[in-house]
Amino acid sequence: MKLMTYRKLRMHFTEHWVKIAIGLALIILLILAIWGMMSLESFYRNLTIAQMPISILLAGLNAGIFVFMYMTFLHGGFSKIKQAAVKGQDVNIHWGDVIGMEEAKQEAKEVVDLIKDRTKLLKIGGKILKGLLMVGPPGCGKTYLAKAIATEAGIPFISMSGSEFTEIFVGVGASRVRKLFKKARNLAYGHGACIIFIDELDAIGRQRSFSFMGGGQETNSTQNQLLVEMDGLQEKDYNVIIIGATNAAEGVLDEALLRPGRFDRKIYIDRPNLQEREKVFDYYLKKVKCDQDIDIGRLARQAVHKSPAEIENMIKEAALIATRNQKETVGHKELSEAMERIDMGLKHRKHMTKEEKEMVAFHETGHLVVMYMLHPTDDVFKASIISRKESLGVVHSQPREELYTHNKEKLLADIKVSISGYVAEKIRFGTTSTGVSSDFKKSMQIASYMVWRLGMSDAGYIGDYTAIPENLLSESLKEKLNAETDKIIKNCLKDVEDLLKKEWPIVERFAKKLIEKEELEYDEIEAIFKECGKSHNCKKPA
Amino acid sequence: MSAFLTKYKALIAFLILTGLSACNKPSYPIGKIEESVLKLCKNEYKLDNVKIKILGSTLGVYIPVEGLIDPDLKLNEKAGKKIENVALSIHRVITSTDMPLKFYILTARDTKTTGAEFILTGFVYDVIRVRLFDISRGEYFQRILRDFRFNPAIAGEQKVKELFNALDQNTSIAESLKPIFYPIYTIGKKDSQKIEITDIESKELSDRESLFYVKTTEGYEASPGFEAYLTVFPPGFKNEYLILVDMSSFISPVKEIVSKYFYSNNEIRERSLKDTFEQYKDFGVIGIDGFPKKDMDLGWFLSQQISRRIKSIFEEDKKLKDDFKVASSQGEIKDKAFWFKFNITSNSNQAMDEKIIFSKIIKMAGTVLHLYAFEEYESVEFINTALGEKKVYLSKKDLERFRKNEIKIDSLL
Repeated sequence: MKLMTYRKLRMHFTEHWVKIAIGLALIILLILAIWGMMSLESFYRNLTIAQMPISILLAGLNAGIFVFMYMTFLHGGFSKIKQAAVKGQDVNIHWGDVIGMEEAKQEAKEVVDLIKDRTKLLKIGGKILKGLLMVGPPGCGKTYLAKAIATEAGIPFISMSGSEFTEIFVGVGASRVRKLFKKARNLAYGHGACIIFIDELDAIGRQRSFSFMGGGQETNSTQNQLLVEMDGLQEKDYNVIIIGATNAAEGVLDEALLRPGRFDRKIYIDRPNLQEREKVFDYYLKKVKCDQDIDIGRLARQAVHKSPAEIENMIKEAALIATRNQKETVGHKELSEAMERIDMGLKHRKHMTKEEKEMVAFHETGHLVVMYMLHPTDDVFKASIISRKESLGVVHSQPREELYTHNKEKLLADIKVSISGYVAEKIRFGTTSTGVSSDFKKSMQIASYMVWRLGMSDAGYIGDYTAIPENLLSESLKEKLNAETDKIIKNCLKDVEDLLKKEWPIVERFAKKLIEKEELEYDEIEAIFKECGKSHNCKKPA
Repeated sequence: MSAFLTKYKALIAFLILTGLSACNKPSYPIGKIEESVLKLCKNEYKLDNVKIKILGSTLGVYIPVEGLIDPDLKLNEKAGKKIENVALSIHRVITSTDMPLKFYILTARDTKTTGAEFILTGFVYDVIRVRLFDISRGEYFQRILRDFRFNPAIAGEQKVKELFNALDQNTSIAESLKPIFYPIYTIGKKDSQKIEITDIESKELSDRESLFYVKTTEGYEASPGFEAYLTVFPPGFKNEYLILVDMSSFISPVKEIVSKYFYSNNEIRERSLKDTFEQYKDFGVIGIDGFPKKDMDLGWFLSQQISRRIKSIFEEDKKLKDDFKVASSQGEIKDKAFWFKFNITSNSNQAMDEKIIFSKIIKMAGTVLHLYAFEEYESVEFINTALGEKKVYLSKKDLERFRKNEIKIDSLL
């Protein structure tokens, strides 16, 4: 205890010796000034006191200018670290607050244990943890997790962004790295350990480039310094842990940075799965007043591939919409509208003729019916003929569950859904519109992908033909592959035509309803299909 | 509370400083002025023969100096240094006291050369202003009154004492004077007379003349036939004399001696010399003791300052010095009316010269009175004795208008 107190005092002295020296000098000067002033005759004493405010002001101004000039031009003022260290307890984010990343949390807990039980680890000859790299898409809680680590470990936490190291001047970044580590070592000396959190590590951790023009020299020197400092830590006995966070894929970062001894441990923080999303929704919905009948499970299903930050944003947006609508609580309608805004953009009504509107309604109905009746994985959440961004209408669907692989049936269903708008237009009007262009593009891309790369044609062409240089592929093979692509499209077209002709009354009903209401929600769509005795083709998740 | 302290640090510091200045005690408080000047002179300048006297709002300081003047009748350099040191001590005390002093008069008097003295008169507020750089040192030197002169009263008193001493000597001059000292030299036996001076009072009648009221105790033995006088003038009786001394006459400076008793129409008569003495006006500022005779007032101080400035106008400017000659300049204030009498002649005798003389002097006088914000006067009169007693009279209002260039000199002449 005494040792820690001594070390803390020494650390404070080492860290703030300039301030302490200046403070002492000021106190001595003040005492001397008072002493000197008391020895003056009252006339000069009064004169001095009367002039003191302006003297102090002028002296302060002069000192300020001098310090600014000195620090800027002579003492590497550009390399000053503005970020102050905060105590772990002050961060105040606990494990309980970390939700939607259970696996990452478990790994982080281990890291905290390692930081805490450093002595135990050393006794059994374990290797001290030096660096922890958190990789994952944006908004998944990397920074949040780092804060939780700091809180739970109860040690000082210095947070910096990778971009804070980059400057136009060569050497400034490296200087900042040196100062950062010096500060961290000091804190580690006084508090037993210290965490340096570098957000957006890729800003300085990118693979080093060597250009004869000298480009990238600053980034290289910054990274080199970081590598040296991280290596240097092993030689000295300071418990400084570097946590890096990046969205960049592993290949983007420099290999030297990722080798053991630097960032020895990696935590992948991915988007939350269904259960995790439910927890995230549950967590954030508790922070706003919401209706009791909100189906969190449905919201979680609807928010497939959404990060916790996006979910939080969605709930905040819903709260804003509720306020605008003079509602006291957030309901499903507001949440749905918020999600739609985020996913599909803001509505902006375009003035369309009756015929155009009808064409769009049948086009979207085609998508809707085929999606509902044929698609094996996706669920229809909304159909709308209100224009958004560039599209005149939209059918909003989401997979019921994250699927990391897609089978042939799913891809064929995607093609069918895409061309169903075209088919519906043709059946109803005997002609088609320009609205099919993006649908065709998507369907052709999928069909071509299936044939050329995935071996999903019926003709037995197995392999990725795009891997072979194009000049090595014969024209006849190309023709055959393209013919297979065409065949898939045509087969899909036929299936869709058969389905829509067969279910045309349903199509008519949905189109009419869409023209009338412009938008149909999940519940309304479900109700109409149930009325018509139709059920979803989609397999319910386990 | 702590948030308040943090937020208003500068304000609190300012208030503390203001508080400090408010509780700032004077270094030389009332009642310790004399002691303080003496202490400063003694401790810092090794001057232990300084004397102090306060008259109302005037601080009088006297220092006897050996060898004040050189044989060429100029101020001795060492003596000048001593005066400077005493003046500095005075300045330090008057600027750091809570006593409402207005003036100081420093008199340095030669211990050997009788009557030679240097008088420095200053206004306390001018000292403060020059220390605050509110006025320049040049302006400050114009504002203080410096007089180096022979005091006729001091020199005269010496002559009076010499006169009484001479009566004991058997010289022809003494024999010729003895009958004036009635009655002992008339009724007393030869060589039995003895006059002892008990008190001398003096008045300066001019730069050179002084009047003395002398009280004596006289003893004698009655001459045969005059024994009857012993009842009227018993030995050791009190007598009085009025003696007029003019120091301009080196050979016989004692111009007149009047005895209290005189014999007329066969009877002994007496006259009130004290009443006669009181009727004369004393033009002297400094008494025999080296201190001011009365409390100074700003009107008198300004009249003296302006009269000196009149001289300096025509002496310091080279062109004016070539064109004009200043013989004398005097100033006074009486019954709220200033008058300045000067003798300035033009070397070229041009018509414009009169205008130049008066306009320069009037402008200067107006400016000085304005700078001191002096309001206790009603009129100012300027008299040039060299121009056939040419007078210019201005009311206070007109003087102010002339200063502001609202009226021209032509309308005044």
